[in-house]
Amino acid sequence: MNKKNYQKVTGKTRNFMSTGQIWQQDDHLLSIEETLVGQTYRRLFFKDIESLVLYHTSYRYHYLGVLAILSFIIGMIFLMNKLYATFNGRVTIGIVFGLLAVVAFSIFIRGTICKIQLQTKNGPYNLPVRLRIFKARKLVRKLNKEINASQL
Amino acid sequence: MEPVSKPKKFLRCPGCRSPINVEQITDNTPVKCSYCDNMQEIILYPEFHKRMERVQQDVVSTGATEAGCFHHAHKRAVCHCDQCGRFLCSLCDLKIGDMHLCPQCASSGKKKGKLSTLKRGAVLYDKIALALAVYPVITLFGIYLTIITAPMSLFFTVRYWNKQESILTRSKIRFVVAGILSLLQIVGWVAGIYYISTRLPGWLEKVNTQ
Ligand SMILES: [Zn+2]
Ligand SMILES: [Zn+2]
Ligand SMILES: [Zn+2]
Repeated sequence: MNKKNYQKVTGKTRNFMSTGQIWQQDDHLLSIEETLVGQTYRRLFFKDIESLVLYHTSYRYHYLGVLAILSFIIGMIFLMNKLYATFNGRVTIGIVFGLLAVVAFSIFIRGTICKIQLQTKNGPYNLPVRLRIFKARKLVRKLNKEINASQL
Repeated sequence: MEPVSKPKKFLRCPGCRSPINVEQITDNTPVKCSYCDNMQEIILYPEFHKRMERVQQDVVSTGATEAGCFHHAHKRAVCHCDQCGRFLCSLCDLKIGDMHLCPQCASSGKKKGKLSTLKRGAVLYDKIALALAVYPVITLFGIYLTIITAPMSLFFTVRYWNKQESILTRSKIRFVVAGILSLLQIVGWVAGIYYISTRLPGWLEKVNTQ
């Protein structure tokens, strides 16, 4: 069928039971949601797009919250096993919490996680991808150019 | 579908779905949703303003808050054409798939073959074949299922080798792995059954003589 070359726009985002990815052709975006057995497509023609909303989610804080709970549980386990009593135990505690701190820092430093909603006459559509703010803004600039050019 | 989209409700907060007052939007400055505190950057394109104007004109021309049909001004509009945005009464509204179209757009779409050629999805037979070849083996007791799943996997591999449905070109790697794994499983079953069938007479003799 329609096997013209699509260009990759974003990487794959893992959602609950599927993955999402955005591709592009001359006049439209192709949003692909892929499950274990198949793909569903949604085309968004640049000339039909009425508005774009880039919105900031609180996923980053959710991730950090999960990490905090995990650290608490690990801490309790260490405490109950009196791991702090020996030198090797103290080294283990240091390494584990050091790693957790690095993970927390990297979640934080990479910026707010954003989603993008495009609106056409058919209503709003959320792109099935999550993007860090820097990448999201870059994508928005690129889309702006395409959409405005198609609506002259 | 809403009969009339009121201008202010054209946009809703993606976080909480409350309407956004579009008059306050200046491009690219992040705004906070007044209901859910969701930060958002909103950009409006020419198409947005065009639809706003169209709605306002329709409201003015029918002299009411309800929009009239583009073709039959005295009739109440029930929806708008998904292609050109014109308001349509129940008579003019043509449902094609999950789209509402006016008669003109429907016929021009058919002529261009646009309505039928846009694929909405694809079955990924290579992923199915691979799942059938791998999952039974890695799950507890699933290994006995391979007597059914291995031939199925092989069937999908052979049948759809050159019939990939996806819009994007896919590599054959999943089919290759699925083919090899399912063939190995089938060989295993055949060898096992052959082994048992050659030894069975001997075993039976032993049991009988005891
Ligand atoms: Zn909100
Ligand atoms: Zn139309
Ligand atoms: Zn009508």
